[in-house]
Amino acid sequence: MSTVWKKAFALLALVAIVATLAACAAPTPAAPVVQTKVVEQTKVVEKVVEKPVEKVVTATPAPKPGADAFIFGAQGEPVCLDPAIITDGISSRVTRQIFEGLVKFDKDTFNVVPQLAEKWDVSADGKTWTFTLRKGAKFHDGTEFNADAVLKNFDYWRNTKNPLHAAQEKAGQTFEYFKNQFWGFDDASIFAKIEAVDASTVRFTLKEPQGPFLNNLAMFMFVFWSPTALEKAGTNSCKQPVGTGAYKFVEWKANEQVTLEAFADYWDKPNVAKMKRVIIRNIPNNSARLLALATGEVHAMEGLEPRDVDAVKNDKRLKLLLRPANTTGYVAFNYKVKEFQDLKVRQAFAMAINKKPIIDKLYGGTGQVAWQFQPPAMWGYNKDLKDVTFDTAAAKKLLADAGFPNGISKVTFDGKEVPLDFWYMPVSRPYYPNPKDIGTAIAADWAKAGINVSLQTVDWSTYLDKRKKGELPLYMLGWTGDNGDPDNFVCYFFCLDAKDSPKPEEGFFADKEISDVLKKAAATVKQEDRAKLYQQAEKMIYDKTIRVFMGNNQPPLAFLAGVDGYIVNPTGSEYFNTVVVK
Amino acid sequence: MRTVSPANNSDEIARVLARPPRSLWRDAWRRLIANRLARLGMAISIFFLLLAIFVPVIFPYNAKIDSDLMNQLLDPSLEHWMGTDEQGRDVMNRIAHGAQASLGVGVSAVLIAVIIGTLIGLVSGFAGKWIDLGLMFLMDILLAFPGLLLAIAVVALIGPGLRNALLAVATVSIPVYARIARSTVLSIKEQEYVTAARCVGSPSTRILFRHVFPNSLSPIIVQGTLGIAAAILEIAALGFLGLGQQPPYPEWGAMLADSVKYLTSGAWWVLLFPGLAIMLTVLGFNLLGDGVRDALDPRLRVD
Repeated sequence: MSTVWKKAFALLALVAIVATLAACAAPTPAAPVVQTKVVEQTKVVEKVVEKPVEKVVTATPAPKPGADAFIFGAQGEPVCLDPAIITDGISSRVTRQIFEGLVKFDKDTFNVVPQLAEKWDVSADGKTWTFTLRKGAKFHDGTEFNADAVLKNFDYWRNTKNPLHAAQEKAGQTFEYFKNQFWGFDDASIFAKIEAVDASTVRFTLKEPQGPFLNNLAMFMFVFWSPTALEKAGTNSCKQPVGTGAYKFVEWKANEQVTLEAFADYWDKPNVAKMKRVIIRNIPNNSARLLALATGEVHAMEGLEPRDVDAVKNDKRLKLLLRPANTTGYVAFNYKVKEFQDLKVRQAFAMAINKKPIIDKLYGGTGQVAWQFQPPAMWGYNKDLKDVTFDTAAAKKLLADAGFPNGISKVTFDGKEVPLDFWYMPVSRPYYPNPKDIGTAIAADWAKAGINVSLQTVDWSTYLDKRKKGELPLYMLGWTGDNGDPDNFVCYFFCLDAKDSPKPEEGFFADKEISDVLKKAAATVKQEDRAKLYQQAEKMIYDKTIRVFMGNNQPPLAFLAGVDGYIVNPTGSEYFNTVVVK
Repeated sequence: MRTVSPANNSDEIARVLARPPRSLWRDAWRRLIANRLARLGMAISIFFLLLAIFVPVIFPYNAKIDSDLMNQLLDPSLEHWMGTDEQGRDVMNRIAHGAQASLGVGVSAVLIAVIIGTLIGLVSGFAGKWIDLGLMFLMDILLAFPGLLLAIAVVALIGPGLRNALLAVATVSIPVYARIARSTVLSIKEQEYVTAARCVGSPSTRILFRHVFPNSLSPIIVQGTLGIAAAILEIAALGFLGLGQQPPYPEWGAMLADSVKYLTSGAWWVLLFPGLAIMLTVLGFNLLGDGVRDALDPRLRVD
C-alpha cells in the first residue's frame, strides 16, 4: 500500500470522525428518545440540522421574511389549537392571540380585568355572578359575540352529553382544565345554572362559593369559540381556531410554524395588533433558537440556556426580559416506597441537598431558593417558614435514627426491593432550566449523605405518563402558576377527591388534614381568610416534608433590541398585539 | 513455494533448512513495527488502553459524590489542566476515567462480536446448504440496517445503560465478522490440505477448528482492530444520545452531549477535550488496524 493511500486513509478516518461527531452534535432534543418511533426521530434530527452552526461565525442577518411580522421562536410544536383541550404553554401561546375570555390578567400581573365582559357583579353570598358582555365584539368569521356564544361554549366544556364534547372525549381530546378548575363536568361541576339574562348579560349560579372563581375565568382555556366555527370544525377544532382575538389564524405548518394575521375588525380599537402578522416558529433546540435570534431569523424567543443569560444581557443587539417568579421546581416522593413513609427519611433527603449553589450556579442567575410550594409573591405564601439548614451530618444521623445507619441505596417500592431510582426530566422547563445538571447535583449531595440513587430519565411524554400512574419512586417536576391563585398551586396537587383516595399522579399522596384545609380555603371567598388557610397548609406541607421544594425561577425571554411593547406575564402566556418590531 | 532441485549443491539445501523457522505471526509483527503510521496508531491505542486499565486502579474515583458547583466551569489552569465542567468536576479526571467506559466497552463489544460472528461464519461456511442459507439470511437482515440506527433500536428495546449499549454495539457488528469468516472458509475448504484431512478421516469439527479456523483468522483480526475504532465511536454516539452511560458516570460521548450547550458561550474546554479523546482513540485504532492489514497481507510477505 502506498503511503499516499495511507495518508488518504488517515484523512478519511478523520473526516469520518468529525462528520459523525458533527452529526451527533446536531443537538438531539435534550431528551434521550427511547421510543422506537424512528420516523419521528429522524424528523427531529433533520430539523435541528437545518440551522448550520456557521451562521454565528458569518453573523450576516438572514433576509427578513417580511418586515411586517413578529416572529417568535418557541421551544416546540403546539399540541392543538383548541384552548379548551390543551394544557401546555407552547399551544396556549398561539391560542392566546386568537381567543379571548370574559376577563383577563392585566399586563404583567395577576390582577383580573375585563376583556369580553364589560363589568360584573357578585352576590353577597358569593354564589351568583352576573357578567355584562361587551357589545360589538365580533368573531373572526363575522359571527356576533353575545350571551348565546358564551352559553354554547360553556355547554361545550361542561356538558358531557353535548355531541361535540362527547366526540372530543372519544377522540382522546379531553377537557382537563375545566374539570380541575370547576370541579368536574355536568352536575358535579360547581355550576348550578348558567343562563342568559338578555343578549348581553350572562348569569352563573354556583353551588357553593369558589374563592378563585374570577381568576379561573381569566385562564387561557376559558375563552370563546365562534359557535358557528366550532360547529363546522367539530373534532377537527385543533386545526381551525376561530375566536375574537387581535390575531386570526392563517395556517399551521406541522413542525415548522404557525402563522397569524391581524384581525381588522378587532373590537378594542386602541389595541388593534401593531404588526400585520405573527409567526410562531418551532425550534426545539435551545442553542439553535438563540442562533436564530442572533441572526435575526426570529425576533423573540423563550427557553434560554442558563449559561446564555449573561451573554444575552451583555449583547447590545439583544435584550432580556424576566417573567416574574411564578414557578416552583420540586422533588417528589412516592409514598408507595415504604422508606418514604417515614418522616425522618424525608427530612434527611431534604436536609442533604445544598440548594444555594444549585440555584446560584445552574439557573443562570434567574432563580431563588424555595422551601414552600407558592412563590414569595403569592398571597398565600407563609413568611414565617425558614428553609431547613443544609447539613450532611445531620441528614446521616436522621437516616441512622430511622434505621438506615449505612445509608439508603435500595428501597421497598410497592412491596418489591429495588434500587432507588431518581428520575430527572428529559426537557428543560421554566421551573428547572436544566434538569439533568440539577438532578446530577442533587444526587451528588445525597450521595455525600449516604443516599445512593441512580439517575434515570425517559422521553417527556413517557415521563409524564409514568408520573401520572405513580410509577416513579422519586422524581423531579414543577409547576408554573396559571391564575395567580394559591389554589392553583397547592390544591391542584394536594386536594384529595371526595373519597380521600391516594392520588397516583402525586406519588400516592394522601393526607386528609392538608387536603381538608385546602378545600376549606377554596370554598372561602374572603382573601384574608383564605390566605391564613393557605399559610397553614404550607406549614403542614413543610413540617411533614411532603415534598422537597428546590427553587423559584424567573424564566428569561430574549429579544432583538428593536422589539418593543412585549409585556411579560407570570402565567407565561402573553398577548402579542402590543408588540412592535423596529 | 521454493523448490530446491536435487542437482544443486547441498550447501544451499543446508542453508535453507538451517534457517530458523519464521511464522506468519512473527513476520507480520516485524512488518507492523516497521510501519511508521502503525507504530503511531499502536502508541495511541496503548496509551488509552493503559489509561482505561490503570487509572481506575491507581486513582479510584467516586463519580457519585463528585460535584462542586462552586468550581463550576473554571478555565484550564495548573490545578485543572483541562478545566472543570458545569458540576465543577475536573475534565481531565473524567476523561481519564471515561476511557474505561469508552475503550473497555468498545473492546469487549468487538470481542463478543468476533467470537459469535466468527462461530456463525465458520459453521455457516463449512456446513453449507440450508444452515448456510438460514444463518446468512439472518445476518443479511441485521446488515440491512445502518449500524447506529440498529444499535439505537436495540437500546430502545432493552433500555439505556452502558451494558446495554455494549450489547447493542456487539449485536450490530456480528454480521460483519460472520460474513468475513464465511467467505474465507468457503475458499479454504476447497484447499488440498482440507481434502487431505478429510481423506485421512478427520472428523468435521477437527477439520474446522484445526485447519480451517487458524487459516481464516487474519482477515478477522484486521477487521477486529478496525472494528474497535468503529465500536468506540458508536458507544460515544449512544452516550451522546443519552442511551449509553448514565449520569453521573463519565463517558466521552455523554460528556460531549452535556457540553454542547456551551458551544455558544465560550467554555470551549468542556467540548474540546472529550472530543479530542474520541478522535485520537479512533484515529489510533484506525491507524493500527490499517497497519495490521498491511502486515497480514500474504502478498506482501518478504523473506
